[in-house]
Amino acid sequence: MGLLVSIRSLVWCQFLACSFFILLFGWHIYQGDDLTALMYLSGSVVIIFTLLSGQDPSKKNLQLLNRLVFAGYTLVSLILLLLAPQKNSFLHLSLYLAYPLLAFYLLPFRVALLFVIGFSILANLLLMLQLEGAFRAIYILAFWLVTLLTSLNRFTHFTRQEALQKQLNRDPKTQLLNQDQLFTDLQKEQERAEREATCLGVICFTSIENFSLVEIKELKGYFAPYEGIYSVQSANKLVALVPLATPQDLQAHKKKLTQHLPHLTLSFQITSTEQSLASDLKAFTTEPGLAK
Amino acid sequence: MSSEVNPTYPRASASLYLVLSLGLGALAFKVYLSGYYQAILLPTLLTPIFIALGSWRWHTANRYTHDPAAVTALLALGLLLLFQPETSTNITQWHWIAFCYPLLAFYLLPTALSLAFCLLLLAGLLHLRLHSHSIEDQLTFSGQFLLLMFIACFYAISNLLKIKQLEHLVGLDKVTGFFNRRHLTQRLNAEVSRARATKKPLALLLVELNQYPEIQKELGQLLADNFIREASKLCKLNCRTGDEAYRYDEQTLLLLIPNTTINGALVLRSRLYQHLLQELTSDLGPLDVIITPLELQIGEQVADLEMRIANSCYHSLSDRVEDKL
Repeated sequence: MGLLVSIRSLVWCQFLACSFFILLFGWHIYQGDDLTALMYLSGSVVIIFTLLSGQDPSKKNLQLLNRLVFAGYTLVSLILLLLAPQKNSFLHLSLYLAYPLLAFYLLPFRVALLFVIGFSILANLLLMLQLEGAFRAIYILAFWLVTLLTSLNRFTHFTRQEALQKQLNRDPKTQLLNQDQLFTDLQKEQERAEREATCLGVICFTSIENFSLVEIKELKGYFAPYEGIYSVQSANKLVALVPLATPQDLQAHKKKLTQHLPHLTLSFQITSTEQSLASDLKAFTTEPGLAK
Repeated sequence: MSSEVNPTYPRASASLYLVLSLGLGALAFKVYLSGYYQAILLPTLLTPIFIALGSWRWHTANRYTHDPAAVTALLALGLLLLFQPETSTNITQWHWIAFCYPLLAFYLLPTALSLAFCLLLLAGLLHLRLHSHSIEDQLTFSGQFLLLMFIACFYAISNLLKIKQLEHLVGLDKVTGFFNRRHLTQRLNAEVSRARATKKPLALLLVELNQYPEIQKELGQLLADNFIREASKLCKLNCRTGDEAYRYDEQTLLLLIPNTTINGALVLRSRLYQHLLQELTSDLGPLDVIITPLELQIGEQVADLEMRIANSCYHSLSDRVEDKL
């Protein structure tokens, strides 16, 4: 990963956070405080895991593992709160302030919210037992303030993201127009072809593997700017809408594409009746793919 | 376009400022009750400042990269953390409030400026508050502070980047449901190339609703949105199959009408103008609308056409003349 990309993707920030987790782990080991050190170690494992696995929602196994790792971190934090002897410095408690941030970053919104609520209630009970006096009041107040602040902040971002997702007409991964836009454009192009007495060709692409950005770029090279390529639900399928002057023009496309893209399964269709094509395409986009 | 890009949450920030003002007010009251008058100055001074910031953000959304309200709030909180006299013998309470600072900083101002504020505060705390503590204490405190700061930085900025990425991909205007200007650039490229390939004409209609800024200013955003929504519905009704509608800027709608000559565009213009006059009502007097027809010239490039569209907007004429002068 290039330096600029890592700066933009904030990997440097994760690295630094991880370094400080490890540094504080080493410091507490040096001071003989094994329990606190264990908490820092589990924190660094959480960050390292995020760095290695990324946050791809399509990888179900990784998502499950992510939740398990985070559950482990939560457990270690709670055990430390339960067993922590009275210390001179309560600085390690500041790590609990970062808990909601880690939860909301690592997990999907609803799961993270459950983790945060569960952790906050249990941590609050344990803090009531372990701490005392004005310090207890100040710490619990700070803890709830940060938890509330983070939850509200995440909620506002979540609702904004949801609203934007609804407005999207492109696939964030491939940057191609998405399936919703495909059906809107299909109807529009069919009506336009009827009005202009031309035809509309539909080309469906299926690959064994999911389409990569390089393949998509290569594929775009075979089409004119007005011939739209669309992402569909399955990542190994694409659809192109090709306005044609006559039905024979599709043959030229067919010849060119089968010659240059022998590794893809292609299907060519000329629009006939609106209903049947839309239903055919719906079936194509939803039927199980060949990709891994 | 302001209607589609509104990344800040003015009410959420405003609530935060108001909560902070309440906290500072409570601290001032506590100090007053305990008779520790040396410590009353800063909380008393900062409470009205935070109330003012809260009211400001409640009514007005931020329009700058570095929100001035957030910068003021972070400066004020930094001052409080550094110079507020101790109310107890140890500094434990300042530890905890200082740990909350990076989180608050990145929520209010998710930019590199927050990073600078946090680092300055850490330096200040080490110099002014922790200088009497052992080096081990100072190191542990710095380690914890930096850890929280980087996690908060990562969390806040990654959230912001996700939203920016989505905004960049959004092709629809949420008020009118029309395509937005970003999508227009891509579609113009496609339609110009199609017009060339099929040797068919391509025309456009620019619909400028000149009362929009006035309605927005006098009657508020909600009524301005309703006004442009109604106009967009009428435009859509007058569009034929295959025509595409865009929100070009705040007050301008654009109709992309393929396979149409300038004469066809003039016919559509007069029909649309009549419909708008008959059916669109404005609370600020008779409707003031300009509809400009344009046609793709032979050999004209997309960039030139885009420039011609921009130059055909009457409402931006004074700005363009000023720019040239």
